[in-house]
Amino acid sequence: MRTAWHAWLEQWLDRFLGRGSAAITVPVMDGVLKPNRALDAAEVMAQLPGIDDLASDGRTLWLSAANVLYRWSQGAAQEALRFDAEITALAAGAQGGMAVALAGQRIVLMRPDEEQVFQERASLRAIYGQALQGVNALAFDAQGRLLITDGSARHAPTAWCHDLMELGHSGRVMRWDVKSGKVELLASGLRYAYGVLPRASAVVFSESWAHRLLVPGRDRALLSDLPAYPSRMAPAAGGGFWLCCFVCRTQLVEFVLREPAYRQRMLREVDPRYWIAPALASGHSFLEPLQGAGVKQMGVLKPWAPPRAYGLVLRVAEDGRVLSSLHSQVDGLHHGITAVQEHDGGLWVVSKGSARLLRIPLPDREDGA
Amino acid sequence: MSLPEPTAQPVLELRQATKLYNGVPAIENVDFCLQPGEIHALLGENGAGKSTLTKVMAGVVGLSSGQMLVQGRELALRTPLEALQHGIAMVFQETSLVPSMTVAQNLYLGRERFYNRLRGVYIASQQFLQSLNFDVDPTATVAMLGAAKKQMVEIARAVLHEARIIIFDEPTASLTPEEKKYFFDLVFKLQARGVSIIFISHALEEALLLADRITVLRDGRHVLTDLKTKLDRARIVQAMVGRDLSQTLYGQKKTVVRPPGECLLSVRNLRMAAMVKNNSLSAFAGQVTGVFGLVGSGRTETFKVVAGLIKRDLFHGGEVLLRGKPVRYRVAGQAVHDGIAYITEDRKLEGFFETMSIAQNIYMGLLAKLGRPLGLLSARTARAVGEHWSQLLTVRAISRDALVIELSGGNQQKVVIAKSLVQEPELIIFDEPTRGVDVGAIAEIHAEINRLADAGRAVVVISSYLPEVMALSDRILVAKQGRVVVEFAPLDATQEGILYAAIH
Repeated sequence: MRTAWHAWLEQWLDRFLGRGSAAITVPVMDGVLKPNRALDAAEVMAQLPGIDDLASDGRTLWLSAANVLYRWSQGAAQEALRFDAEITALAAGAQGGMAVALAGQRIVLMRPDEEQVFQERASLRAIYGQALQGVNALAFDAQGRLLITDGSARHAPTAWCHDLMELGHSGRVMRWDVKSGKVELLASGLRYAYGVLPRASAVVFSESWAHRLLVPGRDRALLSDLPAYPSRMAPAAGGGFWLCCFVCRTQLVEFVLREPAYRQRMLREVDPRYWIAPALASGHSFLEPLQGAGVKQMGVLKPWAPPRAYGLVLRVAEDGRVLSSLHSQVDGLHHGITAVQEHDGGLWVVSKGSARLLRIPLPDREDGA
Repeated sequence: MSLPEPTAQPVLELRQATKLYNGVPAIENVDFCLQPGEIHALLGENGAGKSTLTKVMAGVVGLSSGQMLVQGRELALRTPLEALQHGIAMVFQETSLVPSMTVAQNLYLGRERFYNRLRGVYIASQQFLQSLNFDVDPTATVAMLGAAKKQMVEIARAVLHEARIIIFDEPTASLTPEEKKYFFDLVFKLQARGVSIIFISHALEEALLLADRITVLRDGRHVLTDLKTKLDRARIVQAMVGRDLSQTLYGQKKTVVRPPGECLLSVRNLRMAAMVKNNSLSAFAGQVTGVFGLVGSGRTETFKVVAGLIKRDLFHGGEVLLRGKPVRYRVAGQAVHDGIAYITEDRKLEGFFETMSIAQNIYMGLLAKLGRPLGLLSARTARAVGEHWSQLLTVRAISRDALVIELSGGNQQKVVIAKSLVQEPELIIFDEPTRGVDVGAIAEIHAEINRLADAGRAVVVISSYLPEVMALSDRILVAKQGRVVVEFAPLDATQEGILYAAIH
């Protein structure tokens, strides 16, 4: 008969031998996740320092970069609004309403007046007495309610790596009914909530450090065991949705995440730019840590080398199956994908790592494959 | 069919050679002649009579009727030693060296003097091996040598015995591409020394590259002998099988790729000694996953770990997930119970029980799955299961009670496949499924692989033969130095691209 002592012994053995629950392994990127160069081959539409998020109301494509809100018009990003803080999330409603998160700490709802000038209608700074700290994704549902992910109670969205290295688990998902002023907490205690999407019957959100997509109230994850850290999502015209994975998992990082003493010392003593941690972009400094593999051979960076930065977008079916994927491999440029949006017959992608707005033409008839 | 006009007196000639086994002809009225200093390739399907013909030449078996002439003199060789005394040596596919003895001891085996000084034997062997430009340590134990080095020792032994005719039985089957190149150089060197060479091979390209003349046998009869310059691949294959198979096998590029089903197998960061280094891959239901790589790329070892035949590293050995659940098999039987079948690349050593019949071998596979106590063995069931699978996979044998060892290579392979398929596995791993198998059987084995994938099974095909990987696979994984380095879609894959990934 299996006893508690037996379970403890097994767990201890697993930790000692590095197997079972203590195995430091990363899921395989093959099959539908087979690396390709689709993101690197994408058309570069704009280069905007600090570009981060996208939103579409069906007519206009909006984008945020640093503290500026842009409207995509006449083949270029036109400045629409400038804020006093960095925009960390963006959502556009079907009725012309806009929501922006500023510095991750304040959500502002806006509506255009008769002269098409945005006017602030409402704002939110705290929920249940707890201040917003890391708002990183927003989305309007069919009823016009705003879905919010607050990644961390300790760190701003720009400091996501700190939250990862501290094994943060203070993420929240909320629903704000602006008409009634009621805010509903859908999930809390999450290992970095980053990205939310309303579906017909439920809400899907990303729990990044747990590498999965969840639906509130369901025990089983919609999609789990991803080889990357999932983030924002956007609906796909052919059914299902697009999912950004802003950084990839590697064995070295997984190992560091299991070593508290090493990690704490690294956090204390090493410049965050050179942590053994994933990054939105890499290769800019020789001080960056290598990832413990033959990353270079004959001076050429191997595409299969463990990535510090990577570009990955997944096409996910409604039932959670991954249908296809778009990649920018380790030797590519378009890394750190933070937003994706279908608009005007194309898939628009934000590569925050390269500060570029990309566009990939979509086939006329989307078959979901 | 007439032979080309000989230019000199043949060193070896067979006239109307016939060999009967229990009244059944293995070769029948075969004419064959070997010119001095000639490289002569002997081709044919398994069971065509190549091995019998060469065994007759090497004195392993005698002729039932017909004549054998060496240097124009009629001979009836009764033993290999007698053949060796007449300058005929045979290098077998499975080397006939004694594994526990050193290279030097093997070289001088059978030529010992009354008093032997080991040091003297080593010195003589070293000098002799150097004279042949063979880089082999005479003091090394044969068991520790790689396939290529063993082959060198076999050849050296033949030359040491002053053989003027050397017969090679599938010499390149277990060699890496680099070793093959070395072997080809060696054959040309022997030719330059005036040695006549007969070699059996299933690789037609090798025959076309190496041989001066090619002889094709089919069903124990001589079909064709011609200069290689007058032959091409299609004509040889047609002569071998009596129909044009080259297009069926490898000629057509894969146009339809099966979509992936459930991820049945996921290998994550697997490590096994120096052979498998952080290897990760998946296999999906309803697809053929082809795994290509050079010898030593860790393909076989990875899948042997999956099938519980060998164990991964104890510390941080990675994970194997079957249907998303981690598994760790102590013995292969557990993997069989979980629906994993591994069909070995070395069928003679690991694939079948050579003293058992076809039905008994297939029934052994079923028993592994059922785990029935020995007391409940049923000869009737064994026979019925054997009959069923023999028919399904068209195993051809002289009698249904024939021992597996008596079958041709292709039919042996079919028995090994049947032995695994009888377990109704969900994941089937074919390791070099057509090595040492004739072209007719290759087509049948390929059809079976495709049928399994169409039936929704996850099939993995490990192969060193690129056209085979490209013809069968829905996904092509390329392994290099212990890990999968790249995946190709079959529609985009090119031989050059795959080879480049496997080497660079």
